[in-house]
Amino acid sequence: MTSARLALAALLALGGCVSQPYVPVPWPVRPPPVVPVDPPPTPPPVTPPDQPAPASLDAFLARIVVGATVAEAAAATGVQPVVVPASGPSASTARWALTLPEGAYLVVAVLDASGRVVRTVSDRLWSNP
Amino acid sequence: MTPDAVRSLKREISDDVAATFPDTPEARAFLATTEPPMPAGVALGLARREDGQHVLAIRATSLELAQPLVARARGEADVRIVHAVAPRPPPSSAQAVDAMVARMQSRQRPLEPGLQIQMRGKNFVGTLGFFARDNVTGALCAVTNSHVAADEGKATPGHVIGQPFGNDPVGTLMRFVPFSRSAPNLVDVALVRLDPGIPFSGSFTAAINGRIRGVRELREDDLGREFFKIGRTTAVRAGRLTALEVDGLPVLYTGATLTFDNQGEWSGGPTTDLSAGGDSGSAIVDADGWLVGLLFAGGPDQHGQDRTFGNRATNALHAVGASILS
Repeated sequence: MTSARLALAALLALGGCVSQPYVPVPWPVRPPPVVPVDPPPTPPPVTPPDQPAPASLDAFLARIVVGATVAEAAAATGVQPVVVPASGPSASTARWALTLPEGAYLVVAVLDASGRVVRTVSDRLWSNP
Repeated sequence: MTPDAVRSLKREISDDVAATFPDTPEARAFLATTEPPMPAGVALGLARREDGQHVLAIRATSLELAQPLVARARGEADVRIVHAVAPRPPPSSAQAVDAMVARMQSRQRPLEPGLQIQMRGKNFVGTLGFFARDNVTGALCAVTNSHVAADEGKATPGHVIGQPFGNDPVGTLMRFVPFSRSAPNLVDVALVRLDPGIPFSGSFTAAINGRIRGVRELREDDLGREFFKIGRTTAVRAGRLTALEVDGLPVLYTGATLTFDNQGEWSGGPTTDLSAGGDSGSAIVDADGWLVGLLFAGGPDQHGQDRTFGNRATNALHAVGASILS
């Protein structure tokens, strides 16, 4: 009950008169009850669109998260790496050769047996002028 | 024995060999300028047994040559009969090739340690070891063996070097250390000046999936420690240092047996060869990324177990006047 109706009811109960005619106050209109229906199927996870390559090495490295798959790292960085197979005691790696405003770099993500990133290594790419 | 006791014993044995030289001005001049001589057919170094005791490493071409030296060391010796230590040219027969090996033998840019390289017009291949800067010109270079990029010293500077083959140039032979046929050699090394615009990763090596941090000497406490190499034939392999300061090591080059001093010896163990033909020129690094050796030769011992030999990386760099990129 609204405060206006409460006040009016209190006046009537006291037997007093009101200086203004009673004006019904409309109740708020309730929405119709919601009929439950089968929920729509959960949409598949949206693969983020390829990102533009970061402008710095640090920004690029920050996008390669430990535990990510190669596909996830590729999507996060916006650059498809070359996967180099394991050899002897050496693990497989995913590699990016980058040309950034600050220079050219090789970025290597070392992968575990399930193909997830364990750590990253970066190295400057050199060449004779 | 202590390591110094082993070294002292080596000197005594060497002095005995020197005493057999004729007492002529020529002989005295030769001995004054060369490394201490070792007995014929025998190389001596420093090894460590599993119990931690240092012993005399004897690498002989026959047991008969080794036995008197074992007696002189009062049995405190590690004996390996190595009939034929040879540079590591590629095998002539086909071999199983895994994916990583296939990568090392195919065209790759940027260049990286371990890739196959070849002199233009030659019928042998080897391995690009690591990268360095020429101390004289500042040029960026690749380091490998002389018998890979300088045809055992028969080539002339300017010879084209390609990756994976000579018809795909990446640089030219800049300088190398000539071999001595009379005095012991320390290194089998050549410097290749990379062509302008040829990209390479300065310090990353797949041998450890990390960066080469710099160069360091081999030490006594490295004996038994695990090291890694990457080469065009066997890709990444691990092996333990089994002897160092190996002097008088005979190596069978084309048409001549050359002697090497101050070499490191590694073994991949009873079931794994650390290297094979074609891995010549590979960098040998420790688990922390310190470069210690330049792989150049090897051969099976009396048990069929591969013994891989490497120059000290510090000697190799000094000899060609270059500094490691790291």
